[in-house]
Amino acid sequence: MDCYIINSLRTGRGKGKKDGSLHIIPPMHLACELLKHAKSLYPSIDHWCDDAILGCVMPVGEQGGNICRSALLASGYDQSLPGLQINRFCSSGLDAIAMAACKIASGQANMMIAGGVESMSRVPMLSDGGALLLDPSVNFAHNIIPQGISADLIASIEGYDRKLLDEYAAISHQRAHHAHTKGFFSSIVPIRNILGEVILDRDEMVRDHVSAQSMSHLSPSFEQLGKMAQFDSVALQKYPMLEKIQHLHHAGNSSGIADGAALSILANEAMIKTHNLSAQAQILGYEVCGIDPTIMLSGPALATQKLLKRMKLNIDDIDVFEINEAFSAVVLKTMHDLNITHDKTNILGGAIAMGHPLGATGAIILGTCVEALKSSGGKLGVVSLCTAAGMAVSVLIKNLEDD
Amino acid sequence: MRTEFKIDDNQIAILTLNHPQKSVNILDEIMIEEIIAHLDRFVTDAHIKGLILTSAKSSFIAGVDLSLLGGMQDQTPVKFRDFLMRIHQSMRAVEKSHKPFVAAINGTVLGGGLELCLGADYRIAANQPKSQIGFPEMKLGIFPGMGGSVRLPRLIGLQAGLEIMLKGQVFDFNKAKMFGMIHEIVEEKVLIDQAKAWILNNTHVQNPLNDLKNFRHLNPFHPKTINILMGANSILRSQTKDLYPNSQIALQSIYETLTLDMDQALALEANYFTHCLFDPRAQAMIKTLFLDRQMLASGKHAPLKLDSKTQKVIVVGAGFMGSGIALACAVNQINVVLIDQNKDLLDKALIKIKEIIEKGIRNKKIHERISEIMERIHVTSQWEHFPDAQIAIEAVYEDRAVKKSVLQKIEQHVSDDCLIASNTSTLPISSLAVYLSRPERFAGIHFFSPVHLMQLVEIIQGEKSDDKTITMAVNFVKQIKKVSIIVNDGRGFYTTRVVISYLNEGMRLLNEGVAPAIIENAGKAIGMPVGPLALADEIALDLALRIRNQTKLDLGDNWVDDQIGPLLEWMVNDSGRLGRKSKKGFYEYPDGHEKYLWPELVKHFQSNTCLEFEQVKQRLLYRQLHEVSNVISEGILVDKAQINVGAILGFGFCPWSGGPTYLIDKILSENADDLDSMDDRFQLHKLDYPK
Repeated sequence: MDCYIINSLRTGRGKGKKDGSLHIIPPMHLACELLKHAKSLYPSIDHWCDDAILGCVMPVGEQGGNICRSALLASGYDQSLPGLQINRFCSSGLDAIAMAACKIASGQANMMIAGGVESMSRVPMLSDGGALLLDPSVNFAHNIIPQGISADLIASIEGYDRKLLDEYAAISHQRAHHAHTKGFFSSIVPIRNILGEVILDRDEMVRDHVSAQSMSHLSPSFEQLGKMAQFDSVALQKYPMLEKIQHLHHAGNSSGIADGAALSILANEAMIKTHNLSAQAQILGYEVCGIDPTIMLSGPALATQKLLKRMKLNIDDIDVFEINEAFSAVVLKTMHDLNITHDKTNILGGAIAMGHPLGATGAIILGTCVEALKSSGGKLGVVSLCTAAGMAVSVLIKNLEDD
Repeated sequence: MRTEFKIDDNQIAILTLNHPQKSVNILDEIMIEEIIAHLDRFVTDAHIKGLILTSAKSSFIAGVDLSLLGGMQDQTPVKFRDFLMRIHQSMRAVEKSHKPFVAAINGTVLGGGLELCLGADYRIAANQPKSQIGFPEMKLGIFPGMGGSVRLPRLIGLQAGLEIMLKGQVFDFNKAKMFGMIHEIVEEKVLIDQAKAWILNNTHVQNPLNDLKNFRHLNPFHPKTINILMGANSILRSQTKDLYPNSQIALQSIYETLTLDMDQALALEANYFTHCLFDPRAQAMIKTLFLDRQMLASGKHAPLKLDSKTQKVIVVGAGFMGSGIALACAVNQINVVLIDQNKDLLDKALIKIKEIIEKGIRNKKIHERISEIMERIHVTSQWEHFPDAQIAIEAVYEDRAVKKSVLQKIEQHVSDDCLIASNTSTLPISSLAVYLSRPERFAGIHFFSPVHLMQLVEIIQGEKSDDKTITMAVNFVKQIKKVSIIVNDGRGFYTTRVVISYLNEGMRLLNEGVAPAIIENAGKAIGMPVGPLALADEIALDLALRIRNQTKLDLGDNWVDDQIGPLLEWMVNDSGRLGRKSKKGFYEYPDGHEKYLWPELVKHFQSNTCLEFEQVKQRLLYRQLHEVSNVISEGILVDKAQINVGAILGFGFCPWSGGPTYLIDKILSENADDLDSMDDRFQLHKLDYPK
């Protein structure tokens, strides 16, 4: 694809609760902080760009009414730059960037801004409702269950035990802490208050000394939901080989609720030459897939396989994988299905340690993939996320640092 | 006329329901037409200031005539929907009239009757602890679709409204008042006066239902609503397994009508309700679970028209069944003597009986004092003459020799016209009859466990049992408020035989290497209350083995190997797993924890089968249907109503189907090809039911 990542910017991920650092900042302002920073780096960016896309999963209330155009206008961008908001649940931020890349590669734009934003502490999950949740004509037919139950379903089918899930999670925490210590996350833009004081310049939830042992006391998060609201039984109707769902996911081995935003600035080769820009990476391919909406979260392997097939690549050609850590079981299942090792996967940690601000995460981990390729000296990286309703998205990028 | 419309001196109209041919008011077509006419007159006649709806009977309205709702074969959906809409138009005109309308509820009000009352501005009920109120529709394959599913959530909130409707709950007036379904409860003698007083104090009313703005909180995506509806979807699904005609459509109707104004909402509900009602499964459920069940509960199937009242019953054997039978008699005003040689067992029986009565009183199922009930139960270990007993039932251990001695002892101690019965579930009645000098007065009266919860009683007519004996048994079962079916003698009679076929097929699948979880989930997926392995554990595996070996012995050359002998012997003899009673069976039963499948099963029966889940389901269902079709062709039981009611009440057979005959007929007419590839034990006979 004739589409290059010029720069990736993101906020640190704040804890997505009322006591999280970013809770006091409206979500549009999270996007504005990054847009203003981009304009400070490239003062004519609003005139160079043809369009902008932001992913957002709860586009209602203060995230509604097209948060992308709103943020552009609020950031002092010229009115000539339009904005679009999209939603494919958890992959929205990556979809925004990939769709912008497709637009550029197909010659319909020369340069774009794309990314995602979500303040889960201010616009909580379920705020946007949806027929999928409540309308019996889709809900009954497809055994729609909450994500956490789907993750426990995957673990039950695959026979993952609590220890395995916790050990995976502990490594995510350790890697994230290490990456912060080493300063690998160069894309983080500090968020400041009106007096210029830093509110957040790191991923807030990262902690030191996390081990499988230290999370062994945490009780399962989805057991009550599964039993009381009988979602377990709904899942078993589709997976009758199981006697019961083992509830193994908890706050320590699931992605954290978080606030944050991320952007990438994308351009074609002509634009790069004209304005003497430098590219960090190239976007090579974009693939999506749909799977059973009940198990919901095991799609990243299929999306990645489809992508590699189209790109005529083998799994061994890929140096680094960023598989969104929605839950431990999701990454374990994806690594198993793709036959890849943890050494290549989420090498700077993931959402279990750092949080998962829904609409922003795809854009965040695309940036992380670039950083991971840089820090490891790898060439090709795959970014993939599972989503609600049984979908997944994968994007292939190439590190241009050595070129 | 089924109704009376009178206007008093204060210009208040009193609409009194009084069905001349029925003991209770049921809303048949004529009564509904009369009510519509009266409502229209109330709205248009400016002189009338208010309206009171009440009943001349001791109950209020038992609901819509189910022979009307169960007789949709000759109707068209659009015509029926239009009929519903005429009721709605008249009720809506009242709601919009600003003239006060009070429901003066002087007795039990259910279903369609309650839906009429929800259209009133004020609901005032007589203080009657035994009267009931509620919406039982869901249990009959339909839902409260004559305005109930629209008005109830608006009047009492979504959470309570859904719970009441979806569970098919019926409760007393006090609970209804707590929910806000009834505004006031007063003494019966002042009911109409209070209704009139309310009208005189509220001459101009604003019915809140008229303004959609009052119901913004009911938007499905309101933060308070979203979780309620999500939970309702999943809970209903997990309970109904997508088998019932009404579960999805009831929720669909509620989901879509919550945001509409009343007129639009009622029109949409009427379409959904009509669609649901015309589903053959709903028609079958209404027929079996209401019309046929009611017929059998009334004892009309008895061979003779003969009034017999039982005043005293002798029960021999104070075990689980015997004490249950004694209790069933005592709570229904029948004196009972419970005999057992074992005094310990008698003491335990009394403790158990008291526990059940106390629970019944707490749950308002029993309205008598415990001492009054206990006075009717006499326990003894001494045999004496019981000249005044009408019925004597043995409920001793399932052992031929023990039964023989007890039956002969009974015959020595009762009068000549006393009915003698055995509660055996397995021994052919005619083979026990030979121990008695007068076998014509002997029959099987087979109760189900636990007796206080199970509605069905199987009456077994032995070769020599005469019609008077069977009629007395039917009347007795009616007197203890249970439902009887009359079955001819044969191995396992009717229900036991079919249940065993279900268990055996489950064990056979296990033996073939199908994973136990698949077997159990398949049983539940066809609509059985529990999987076959769990049920086998409940019944006890040693008993299953004993029955199997006895059957094999009795049938001799006619025995067809069921392939489960080695499995049962391995479980019972090699592994010492007898089922739930020993806390070890196909399941493990850890104290204080949920049961789980014995992990050794998966290891022992190597999975080497490629059966699909759907095939497992089909085998568990067709195996039972085959057995029912044999029961019919062998003449054990040929009456459709009794076959269907017996299966659903006796062993929880797929209530969604309306009973096995509906499934057999459907398969033979629509999917007969399925049978071609199946073994003999799944084949179905074309059924010839007598008219």
